[in-house]
Amino acid sequence: MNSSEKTALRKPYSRIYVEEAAAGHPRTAQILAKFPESVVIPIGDYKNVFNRPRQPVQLQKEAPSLILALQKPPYLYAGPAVCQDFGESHFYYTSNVMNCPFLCDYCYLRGMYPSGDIVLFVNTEDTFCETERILKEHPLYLCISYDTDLLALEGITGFFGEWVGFAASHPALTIEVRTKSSPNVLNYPVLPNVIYAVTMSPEAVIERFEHRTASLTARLRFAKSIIESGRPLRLCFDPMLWVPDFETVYGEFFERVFSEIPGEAVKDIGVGTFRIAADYLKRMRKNHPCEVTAYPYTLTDGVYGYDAERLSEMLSFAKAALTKYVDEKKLFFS
Amino acid sequence: MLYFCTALYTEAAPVISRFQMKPAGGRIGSVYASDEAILVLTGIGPVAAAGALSEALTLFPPAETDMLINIGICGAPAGFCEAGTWLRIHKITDAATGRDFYPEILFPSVFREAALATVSTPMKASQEAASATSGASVSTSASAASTVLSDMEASALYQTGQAFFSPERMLFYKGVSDFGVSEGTRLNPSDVTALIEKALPDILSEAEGILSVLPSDPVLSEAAETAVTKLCKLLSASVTMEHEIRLLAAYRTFRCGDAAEFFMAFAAGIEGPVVRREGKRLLEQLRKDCLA
Repeated sequence: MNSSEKTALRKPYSRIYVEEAAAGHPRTAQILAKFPESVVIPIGDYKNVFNRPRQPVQLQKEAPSLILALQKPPYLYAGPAVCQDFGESHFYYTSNVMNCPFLCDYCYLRGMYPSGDIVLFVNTEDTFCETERILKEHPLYLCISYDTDLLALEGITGFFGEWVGFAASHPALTIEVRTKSSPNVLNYPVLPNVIYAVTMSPEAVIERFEHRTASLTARLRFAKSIIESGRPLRLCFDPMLWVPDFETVYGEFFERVFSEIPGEAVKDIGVGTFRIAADYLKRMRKNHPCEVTAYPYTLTDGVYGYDAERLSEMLSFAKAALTKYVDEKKLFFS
Repeated sequence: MLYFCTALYTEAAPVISRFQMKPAGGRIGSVYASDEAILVLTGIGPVAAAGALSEALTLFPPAETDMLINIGICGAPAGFCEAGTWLRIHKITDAATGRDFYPEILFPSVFREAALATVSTPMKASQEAASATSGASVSTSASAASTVLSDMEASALYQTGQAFFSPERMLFYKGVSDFGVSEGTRLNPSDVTALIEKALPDILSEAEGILSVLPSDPVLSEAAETAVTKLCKLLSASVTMEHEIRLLAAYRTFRCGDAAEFFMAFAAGIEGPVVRREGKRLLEQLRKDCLA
């Protein structure tokens, strides 16, 4: 073994755990076919791998394994209070995937999951079935890229394409797909009930805290392609992080975004600062000590965030800056 | 520090020799130690393995950065591989309970990978043949269907070790010695030792390579730790205050590099230990300075 081999992590997705119940599913075969070199390990239940104690989450995130499994009910969840509902009265989310290929320092998934591996639930048909059941009761606003970045994994899963097809035949369903990637989605049909939500951050923040995500330039290019093709675009300035020279960094950033994206063409905008459940932050500080997790946040009602004075400064600044470009009614703060 | 586990002395001998270990106690098993490594000679079977490893980890408590390595012989179904083949284990099934365990393999291994079942009695040749196709002979767990190798300690070592070692720091290497034991046959001890000697250099190279890249550095430098300790004393800090001071030192380190100089300078401005109320006021000042 030479020295370079010694220091090299395994390749991402070089190990694929397959739940026995999922082994015969056609999507499992489709996904495995994309990784002919990977070691495939049969498992009884995905939790036996994903929930192992004391896992090296950070290293796993850098070179994750895939875990192919069958999702069990419930398939849809009511949206949590700390997340924006954008005025929608029936806000739900679903997770066909657990974990994300990106390595954002502030991501709550680092505190929520005990593993950096990525679980793909191959039985999307069961989620669609449950969604149809709920749609019989009322319209539905559903976030489909919640505990992951679905578009970033589309080349592996094809799940987003399935959701677009489903949304095309269910107009009472509105789906939001949020991303920090910059894929080409122009092959999918243009639908008013498929909202593309692009998380935007200053380039300095992306480079420092949002590892492996698309650059600001790439995200802006993606956002422009969404607008120009007539698709609904949501911009997400969330989470905003406090950084030295905050007003300069974010002021120049907003200016750049709206020099390329016409404010009137944007469906709406989500704005928020970093906030996280206390239990998650505690785990993140242990597993992934970094500038974001070590910040001395203030605890309010079980949620850590910036102290009231700093929070007010950040949100006031954002509101004043953004209303230069968009109607205030399009802004949703959390 | 590397913690080796072997069941038999014939398996242990090359490791003891390589690290020039000396006997270091043990009532359940036998422990050998040197400055670089510990070896636990567990004896045969899962009960002996769990007991001996527990005892050794009590006698020589491991640090979070240490590593557990199980080296030993195993049985394989005829036709699975040649005798003398070494494999790295990625799945261990406890045949008695059907539970599965998954050592994390974060770095490419020079060894072929395989699954293993830990059994309580040596596998007969007929059982090994059956396990190659169904797994039913070693476990009621359906997930054991892919299990092809068998030993008598690994699952017990994993279950005991997981309280002390994270999954990427538990390495299981097995050399195929037989294809099921026929009645009345015994393995030649010198053959077992030779089998271990053959693989040991590669195993050590792989283990040391992994150790060298796994994270082991604390966030705060020694100088920063000293500064934090000094500041805590000066502020008459409670446990909660000390936690906050450490967090600020970590934040400062990530944002600006080593926090030692900044904290030393702050401490230098304080004359003697202050009462806690004043300490809290100074802590608030420190917080503002760190976030500025």
